[in-house]
Amino acid sequence: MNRYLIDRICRWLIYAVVATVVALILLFVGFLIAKGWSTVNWQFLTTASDDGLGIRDQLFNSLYLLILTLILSCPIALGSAIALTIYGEKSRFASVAKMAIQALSSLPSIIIGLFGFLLLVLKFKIGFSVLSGAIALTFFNLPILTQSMSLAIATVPSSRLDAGISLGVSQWHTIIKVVLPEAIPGMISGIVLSAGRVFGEAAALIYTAGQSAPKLNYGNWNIFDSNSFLNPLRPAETLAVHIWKLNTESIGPDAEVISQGTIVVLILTIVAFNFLARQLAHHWQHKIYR
Amino acid sequence: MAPVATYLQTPTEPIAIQTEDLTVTYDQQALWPTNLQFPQHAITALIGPSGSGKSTFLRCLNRMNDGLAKVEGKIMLGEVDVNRPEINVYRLRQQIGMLFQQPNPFARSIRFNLSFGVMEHQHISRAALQEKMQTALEMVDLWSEIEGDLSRNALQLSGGQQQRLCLARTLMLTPDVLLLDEPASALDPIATAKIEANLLKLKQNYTIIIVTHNLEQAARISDYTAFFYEGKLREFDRTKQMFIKPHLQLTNDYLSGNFG
Repeated sequence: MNRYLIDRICRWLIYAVVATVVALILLFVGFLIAKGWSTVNWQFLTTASDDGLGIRDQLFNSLYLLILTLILSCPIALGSAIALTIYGEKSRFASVAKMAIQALSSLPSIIIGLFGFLLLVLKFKIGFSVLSGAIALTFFNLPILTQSMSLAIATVPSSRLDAGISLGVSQWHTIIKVVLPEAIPGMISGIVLSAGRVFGEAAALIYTAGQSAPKLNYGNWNIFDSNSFLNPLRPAETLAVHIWKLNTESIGPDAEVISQGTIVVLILTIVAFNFLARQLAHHWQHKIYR
Repeated sequence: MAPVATYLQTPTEPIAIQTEDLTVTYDQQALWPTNLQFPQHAITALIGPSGSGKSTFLRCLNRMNDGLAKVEGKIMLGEVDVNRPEINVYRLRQQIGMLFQQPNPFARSIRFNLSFGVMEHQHISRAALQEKMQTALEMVDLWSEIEGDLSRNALQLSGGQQQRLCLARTLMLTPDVLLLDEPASALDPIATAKIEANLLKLKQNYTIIIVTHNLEQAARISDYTAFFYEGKLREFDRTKQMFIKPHLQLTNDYLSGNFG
């Protein structure tokens, strides 16, 4: 057989594989969306689940938990990423830490959930709460986020650091003013993609943020009130946990419909995150590379 | 250790920077005690095979080896030994600028590249900064090539232009000494010629030390040449003298490509 032919066959094979993957995803997502699409409307998004067919509080809880998780995990991940890629690039400690992080990133999330339950909910007596959930999700998120941030920083050539230092600028200032701004597009992608994972996480939350969504009062800004939407110590069932609960222990006649609608909302939000990641990274790239 | 033959000429010009028994040790010793005097406002070329210690030596002069290697001995910049822990290395690196083998501009605007270092060292008015940037770019013949547009991204420039921008970036700090680590080895002959022209012009005001593998380049632009071999300085002389009639057989072999 001649080489051109082999080349062409291989290329078509690869295209076929890609097409299969894309088709499977489209089929899967399309099926879920088609089933739940009719449920999703403005009322579905804005009614509390206690009052009927709504997921208002679950949707808010998911977003609130996500924001708290990012506030907790971003600084830690950024610090670790700087330490691992710049300061400790060749140190023994860094290589051990990198291995540990890799191992941690494949830890089943139910284990993180149970760990959070034992430590935060029971031992520290925080109870089923937004806070417990956010801390558990931080454990869940840190390895991935640290890895993606390390990767983003590592794509900035180390010669930039040399350049800054040779100009009499301290290493820290060069990192802050040259290296990090250049790494931001990569870091934004990393943050938003991990946000998608966090947003859809259920197992780590079932025993930490809890499985109940008390009706929230969005006009109550006193974070110490139990019905305040900002109260971090109230239980907070998220979209993903809601889906899980509806499918395992719900007795209502509408459980399946609500579950299907919730799935649509969850999927679309995560797709929106991915889209946002691209836009933000692109925007920033444009801003500094011009 | 058997003594090795060396020939070190003493320059007649005033000395800008000199080393006294400078040694460098990584895991192993990389540079044996080196005494070298760099004449002011002249170009000195450091030549020698790869691994001969010339780049290692160069990077000691602005303390770029801090934390990477043990550097002992004196580095006298004028009357001051700058190889002491209490020396302010940030201030020192402002006085001794450096250019690297690969052009390494920041992936930002030309303006950011030029102003970044200066702003760290001094407060300077916007107008003064603008003027300084123009002067620096004119010195490296880049001002007209970029048509005065400082907002362009440095990575859009050609390799040679990037390297000259890096040179201008160093000049912004008004250093006394320029260290160049094979600055033209990644560039084509035309870009190389432009850099060399810049250096010949700059040597009126700056003391220039250049590491190069390009012997023609050393012959073309340098006033003095130092030959390193296996971590030791072996011969130091006026370039004309060394390239016509080196004192050591070893130098002669290296210059005529008679190695191995």
